[in-house]
Amino acid sequence: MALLGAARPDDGIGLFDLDVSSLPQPTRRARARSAVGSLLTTPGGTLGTIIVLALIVLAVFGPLLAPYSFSAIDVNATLQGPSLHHLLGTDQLGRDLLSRLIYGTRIEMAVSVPAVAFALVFGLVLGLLGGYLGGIFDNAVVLLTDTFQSFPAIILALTLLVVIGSSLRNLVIVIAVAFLPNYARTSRALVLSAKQNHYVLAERALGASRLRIMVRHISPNIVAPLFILLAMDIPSAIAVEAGLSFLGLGVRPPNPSWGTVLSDGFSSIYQAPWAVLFASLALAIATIGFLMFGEALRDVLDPRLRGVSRWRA
Amino acid sequence: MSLARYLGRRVITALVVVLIVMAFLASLDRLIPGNPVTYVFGPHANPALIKEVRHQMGLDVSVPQQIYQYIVNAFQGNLGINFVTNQSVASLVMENLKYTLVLAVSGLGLAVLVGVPLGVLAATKPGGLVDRAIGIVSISVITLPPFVVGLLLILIFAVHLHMLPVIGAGAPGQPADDLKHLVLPAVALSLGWIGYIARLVRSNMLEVLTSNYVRTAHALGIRRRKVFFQYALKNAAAPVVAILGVGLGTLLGGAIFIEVIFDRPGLGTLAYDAIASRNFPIVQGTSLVIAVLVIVANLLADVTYRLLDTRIQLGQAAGT
Amino acid sequence: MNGNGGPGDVLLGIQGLAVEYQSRGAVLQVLPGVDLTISRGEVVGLVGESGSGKSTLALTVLRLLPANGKIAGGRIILDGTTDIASLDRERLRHTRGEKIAMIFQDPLTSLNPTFKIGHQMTDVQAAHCAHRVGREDRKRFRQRAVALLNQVGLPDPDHVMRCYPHQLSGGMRQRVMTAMALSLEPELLIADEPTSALDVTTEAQIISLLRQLKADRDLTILFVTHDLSIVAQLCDRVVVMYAGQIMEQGDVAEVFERPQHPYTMALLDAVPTRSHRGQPLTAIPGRVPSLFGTITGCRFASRCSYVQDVCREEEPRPVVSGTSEAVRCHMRDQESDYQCAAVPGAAVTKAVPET
Repeated sequence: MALLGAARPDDGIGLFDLDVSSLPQPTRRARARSAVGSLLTTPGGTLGTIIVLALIVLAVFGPLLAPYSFSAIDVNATLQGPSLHHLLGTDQLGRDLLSRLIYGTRIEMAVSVPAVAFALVFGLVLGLLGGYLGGIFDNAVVLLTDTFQSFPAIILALTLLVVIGSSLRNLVIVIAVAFLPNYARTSRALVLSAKQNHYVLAERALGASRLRIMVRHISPNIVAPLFILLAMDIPSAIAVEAGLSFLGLGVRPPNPSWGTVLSDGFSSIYQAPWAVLFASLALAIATIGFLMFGEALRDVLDPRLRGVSRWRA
Repeated sequence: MSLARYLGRRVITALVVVLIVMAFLASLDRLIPGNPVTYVFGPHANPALIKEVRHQMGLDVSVPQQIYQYIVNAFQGNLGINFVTNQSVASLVMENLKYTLVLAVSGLGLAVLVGVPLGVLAATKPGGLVDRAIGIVSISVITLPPFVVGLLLILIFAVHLHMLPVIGAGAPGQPADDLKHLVLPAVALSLGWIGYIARLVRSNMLEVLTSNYVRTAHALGIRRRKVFFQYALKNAAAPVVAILGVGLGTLLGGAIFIEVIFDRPGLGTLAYDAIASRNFPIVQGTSLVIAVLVIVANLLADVTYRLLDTRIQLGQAAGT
Repeated sequence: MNGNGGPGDVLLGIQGLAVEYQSRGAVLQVLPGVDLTISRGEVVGLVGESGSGKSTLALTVLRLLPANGKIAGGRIILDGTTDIASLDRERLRHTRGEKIAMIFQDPLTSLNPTFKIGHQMTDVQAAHCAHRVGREDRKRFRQRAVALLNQVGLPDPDHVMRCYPHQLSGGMRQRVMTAMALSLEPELLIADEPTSALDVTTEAQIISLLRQLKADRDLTILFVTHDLSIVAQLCDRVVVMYAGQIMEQGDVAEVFERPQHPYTMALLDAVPTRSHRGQPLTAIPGRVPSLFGTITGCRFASRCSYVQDVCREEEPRPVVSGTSEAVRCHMRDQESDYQCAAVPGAAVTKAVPET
């Protein structure tokens, strides 16, 4: 920071006549690059990012990577342990566990990521409306979120699924509905505190419409924490989906949601523990990966957050 | 505002929420694709019979009327009829409620009784061996959903070690046996929350220990042990009470799986069986009771928290 | 509990105190080696800007540094007998509150929000009770607490005892803290910017309370502040700190009238009432030097109006100059290489050291 150091003593001028425009401004690209770089600074962040990327790769390229089809039955090879042919063993119908889990990754990601994303978007809108407009809108939003948060996620999902039937699409809808209230509540709280910020008051004094303030000024600043919440909610969404599939309310067999694999494994748990073990491991890895990724994301976005908002507004 | 006023407002809000929950659940009836009656009786049932049953089930009135009827019935203790066995849903639910409650409450109790001391222990020497060990264990258990933990516990204790029973809730009339049957399920349910509470208490303690008032206590020569266990802990533990309401909700949700896995009676098993037979009134009734339980738990947790942390209770009035 | 000597004796002797902070793997030398004596019965004002080390010095006396701070050297001699820096924990605990007490800047966060005032005040007394505390003792403590609250000017002590900190105003909280600090009759009271968080009117009340307490109990006070006007009102001696070192110290009236050190001069110049209408306020240009790593020469050199080469190379030693007991400045040091003649301006001629 050479600019701030050498002020001459005699003329009584100091920090206050700095030329702000001469300070180096980070370019968009540099900012993005350093953001990704910061994700990898901590061991936790690196591990999390690697796991998340691996899951995405598995989800996209699953069919190419899996050694067998998820429904390939082999009655001669049932309930086997790990071997050269079947790296993770087989289930009670002789299907390769590794392949089933890989295909399962597709299902988990295809359900949980869109579900939480929808929850974020609709929750954000609700929270904005309630938080910024206040009054009756706010009361309504609070009452609605209170109502839906009174149901444990599984129970709500379960009840809705009984009504509308279970399919991949319905799973996404139901999980989105279960997570929506939390995003509405969080974004409402963020909006309420952002409203107090001085730059909002300044904009209002300049005559900006409420919509403009909501969209251009408040939203960018509250999206980042919501994104972090998203990253950390994905494991919960996966857990809900797995749970629903475990209960038989999720994807239909032979589709191998991790929950289905667990359920199959449970029925043969006394004979062969492999399905339960490896499916649990898959869940654990996915959870740890996203949680660490979320924490690294928070470390990157949080301090950055203040800088970004000021330059943009 | 005073505690009484706050309590009043909170109770009224809770009641309104209960009403909305009921309305929501009641209106779901209408969304069921197809005709629930034909589902039960078959598509070739006598149309007159279908009409009569529909009338009895209250399906031939307008939605608002149906909602109103449901709410009125609910407050009178009538949650509908299980149209498979003709039993009252309310009695079925009440019968099974106690098992689930025992499970959830033991899980919560375990989470607090084990989690808080672990968190305090970890905070005594941050960065030390004990702290790190507790940290690693906490994180690993948080990451697994309870039903997975349940499966793993079964794997370890029942399949390999043959130590604890994994089926049923114990022979009736034998509390000791009940307890034995409760151990694994309660542990499975609570493990995740033990880790969560331990982490929460630890980070709260560390934050409180750097606060100014702890510094003042040291500055005035108060014994370190007293500062730690009285001054710091009271402030650090208060937020834990607040999340217990949420905790009960999560545990009730997880209880379904635990009951199914461990073959225990309870609301979870009830709902699970009902799902299989598309027996919506039971699912509806179970949902309602669970939601009411959660609402009440949150209410109690909120009020208890305010009692503990008087700063919030009266701070707004003082305006400081 | 009473000291050996009478008024005028040295109560606290700080010798070569060095304090370090650990910050992200690097070591911050906050205090390089400070010497300061406080005599019984006097009120010493410790002034400096943010980052000067004044609060660190105050906290170190009672060893209240945060976890990443430690005493790297030096001694803190209390009453000529005990070195606080090397006391074991239990004896340190007895020193705190009984011999030396401290009040802090923000009374809201410095009082436990979840305990009533009465509870906190009786706890302090109970902590220093030699025997097991019984019901009679608690009753005695409560009565004493009420009496103390009265002495600090609180109108309804019984009510205050039953209050929680957030139910009181800032001024009342500061009085409560003062009462708590005095409950064990310490000989030295350290006040770390006790009025910085208060409005001007309340500040005046607290200052006058301290003055009164000093008179009533013959209290020795170390008053840390950045506000020179308080020092002028309350203190007998002033100690001026900059970047961890004491730059000047002496009798308040003398130092303010005839400041010897350029920093003190600049501080006094910067007081708004000294400026003329329509003129810009005088500020001191530059920034406090970074305390990572070593500093050569005078720490104030980069901002000093009278700086010369010798100032940047050699660290000035404390000398007696004019009416100041100790000034760290080459300009005032007859034996330094400083060229007085080379500096124009009235300031230097005013302060020609007595030969």
